[in-house]
Amino acid sequence: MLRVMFLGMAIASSSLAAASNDNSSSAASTQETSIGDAEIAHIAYTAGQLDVVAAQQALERSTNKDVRAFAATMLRDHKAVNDLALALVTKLGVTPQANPVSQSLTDEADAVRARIAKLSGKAFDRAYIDREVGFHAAVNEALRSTLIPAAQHPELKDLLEQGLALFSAHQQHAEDLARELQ
Amino acid sequence: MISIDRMKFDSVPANLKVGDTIRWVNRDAVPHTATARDRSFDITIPGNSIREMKILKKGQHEFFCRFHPAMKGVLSAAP
Repeated sequence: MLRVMFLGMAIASSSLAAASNDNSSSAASTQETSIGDAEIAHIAYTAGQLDVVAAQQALERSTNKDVRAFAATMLRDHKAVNDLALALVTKLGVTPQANPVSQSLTDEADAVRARIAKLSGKAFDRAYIDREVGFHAAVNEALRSTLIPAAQHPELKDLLEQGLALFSAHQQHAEDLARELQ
Repeated sequence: MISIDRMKFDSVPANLKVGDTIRWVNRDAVPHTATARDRSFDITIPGNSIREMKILKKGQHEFFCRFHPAMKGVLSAAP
């Protein structure tokens, strides 16, 4: 979870720092990247898709009723939002662009998925829910502090704001479950 | 009418009574439920959809969304 949280800080403070359009700071670090609606759309879609995959893993491995219900909600909600996102980028003529942030998100999620695949029972449930707390906290922080302020098109900004409301509820749900699993 | 928008139940109308019809308007893209803790009602409202429900039981009913338990409200119905 710490690594996910670190990634969240990276999303919020480093990789997307070029959102400020400060060319001097962009040039100062090779880790920074320009951020526009195409990159933002890719990051948001990638985050949703990664949580769908995590939910599928939980539904395959967990027998805990509450954990399975949570995973089913993640699957349903993130698919719904990503369907909206795809429809919006098509309407706006924006082609989502792969970027270092979405790649980092993917690499981190792949590593966590592989690690917790070795667990079972309560250990798996705790690891999955801890992952969900950290992942949503990181993504929400990135949405709040960087992605929403940087989004240019009003409809994309609005969709991201809807996503923040939804993912904040997911984070709270995951935090409540984490306490119950202790 | 009770709207659901951005993961919140809007305010519940006052002066409701048994037999009244509640129109749940879900403006979110994701499905929600309005589920009474006393189980006197439990309705699922798909994303961007409207569902209607008749109030069958008097009293003060705390309700929540089963999918998103942080979403809560209270519905009071007179006899």
